[in-house]
Amino acid sequence: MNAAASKPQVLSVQDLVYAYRTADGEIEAISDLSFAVHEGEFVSIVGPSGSGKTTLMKIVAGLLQATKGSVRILGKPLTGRVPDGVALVFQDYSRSLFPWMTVQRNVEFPLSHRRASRADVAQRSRESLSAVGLVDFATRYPWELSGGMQQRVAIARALAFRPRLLLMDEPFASVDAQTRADLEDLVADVHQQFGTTILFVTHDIDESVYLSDRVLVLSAHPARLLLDREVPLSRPRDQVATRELHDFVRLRAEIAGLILRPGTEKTASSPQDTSPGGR
Amino acid sequence: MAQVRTPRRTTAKEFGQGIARWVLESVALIVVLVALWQVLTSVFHPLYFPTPVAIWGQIARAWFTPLGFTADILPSFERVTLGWLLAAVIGVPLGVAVGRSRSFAEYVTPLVHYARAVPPPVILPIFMIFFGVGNAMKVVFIAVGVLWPILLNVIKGVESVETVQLDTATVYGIGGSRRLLHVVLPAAMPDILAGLRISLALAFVLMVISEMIAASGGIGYQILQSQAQFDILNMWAGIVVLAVGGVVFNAVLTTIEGRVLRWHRGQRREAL
Ligand SMILES: Nc1ncnc2c1ncn2[C@@H]1O[C@H](COP(=O)(O)OP(=O)(O)O)[C@@H](O)[C@H]1O
Ligand SMILES: [Mg+2]
Repeated sequence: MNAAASKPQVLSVQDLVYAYRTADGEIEAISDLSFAVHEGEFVSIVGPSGSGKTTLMKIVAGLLQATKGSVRILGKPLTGRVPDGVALVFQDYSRSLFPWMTVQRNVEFPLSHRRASRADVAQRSRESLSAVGLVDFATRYPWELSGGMQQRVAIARALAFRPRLLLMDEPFASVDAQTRADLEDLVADVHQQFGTTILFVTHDIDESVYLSDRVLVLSAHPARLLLDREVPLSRPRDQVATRELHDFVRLRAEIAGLILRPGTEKTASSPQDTSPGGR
Repeated sequence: MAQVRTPRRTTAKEFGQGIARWVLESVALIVVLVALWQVLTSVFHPLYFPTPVAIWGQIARAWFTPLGFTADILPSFERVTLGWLLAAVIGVPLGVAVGRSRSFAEYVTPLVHYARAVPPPVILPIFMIFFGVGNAMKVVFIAVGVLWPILLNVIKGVESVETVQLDTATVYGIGGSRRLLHVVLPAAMPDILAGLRISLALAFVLMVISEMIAASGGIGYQILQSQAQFDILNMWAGIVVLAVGGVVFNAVLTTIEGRVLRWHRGQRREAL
């Protein structure tokens, strides 16, 4: 079994169901999802677009309330309030930064009302800005930066918060390929360096395998768990070499088979049925 | 690290140059128009159009005097300022309160539109019944008249704060007054200031109306009196004083707006 599994659970999701209430009835976005994330783990959730990944992140972050089932963070059930120690990096980075604040102010804003001292706040923001390579841009405004740099500000803000659980919702979906590779390695470094527990959502199969210790595969809408699999790759990883490894290629193919197989959107298939190209 | 592009900082300077060019161009235009007016009026001597030089002489003689200031200029601008400020002090907090609840806003906004549709001069007689014809009546009249555009814009601004920004604040545990002060208000500020600017222009209109209908002093009163006494020169002098005052008030507000919304301008420019 997984070495991390013996560590305490940071997040535990049990029989989670979520249905959006709309004018024309309920839309089930998540149907019966269970999984856990342990301390220090890097877990990716991969699933097709519209499968309910963002919904799941919002529930864990306390922005939405589960319709059924339970979500526990560090053993404490989520009860309608926003959990302590959880940070969320949104897919829509340009809108999640506050354009009237400088980069530094954006990073410090979530800290300054906690009982942290002025010096501690400054120290933490410097530390996290330097982790993402943006110390020199502290006095700039977000809109003066490129998309990739803006997303790094959002990551720095989350890091400075020192979350027990870092949620990332398709953080690199809208940056160019080179920036994306850089940001992936940045997040991997941060995970190693700070030991942060990360739950990372993506629709990119390669990215999910490349980054994580464990991959959870979600079905198309409504989300069910199709696969929960350890990633048998050592760290540190390399953008080129790792992606050529047999284990990488095989796991990627297995996940692709699950997600891309025609017919999954129509009928529920059991999680055990993992043969690629089945039916 | 991939630096896709280097950020630019020349923008503030460019903006300054743009302003300077704009001021220069508009001053040049005004000078040309005034000169043209001077030439035409001194050639043709039309009965109702004095020359700019004569108007200026009249302003210096009759308006820029201790009595002119205390009896007419100051009372008028004081009414505008007080009425507008009163509306802002009531309208901004009220708009924020309404705008924060989407369902409440949907209910209230049509009512505000109705209230706004009533031409303010129509309700002036009612105000005279309740408040007499004194200064307080005019201030309240102006305030009530300009409240609606402020309310509408503040509600709109607060309602349209990005959901992602609010969610971000929620996730980081930022609630209460910090959320209001540092997230909601700055995000709504472009709309709030737009509402304040629109209502300032309207405040001038209402000030003149209130002075023409019920007053014993003020620029609007003097303009109407002069017209009635066939003192065309003094009537024009009053119009010019009023116009210059409007330009100055607007310039002050625009400058403040430019400072407060530096981020907004920059962001919009980058989005292009
Ligand atoms: N506010 C909403 N109201 C109704 N349905 C929604 C809402 N947000 C998302 N959905 C639906 O829920 C499903 C899952 O959405 P989402 O969690 O955003 O998926 P993902 O992030 O995986 O792309 C989609 O089918 C989407 O149409
Ligand atoms: Mg999504």
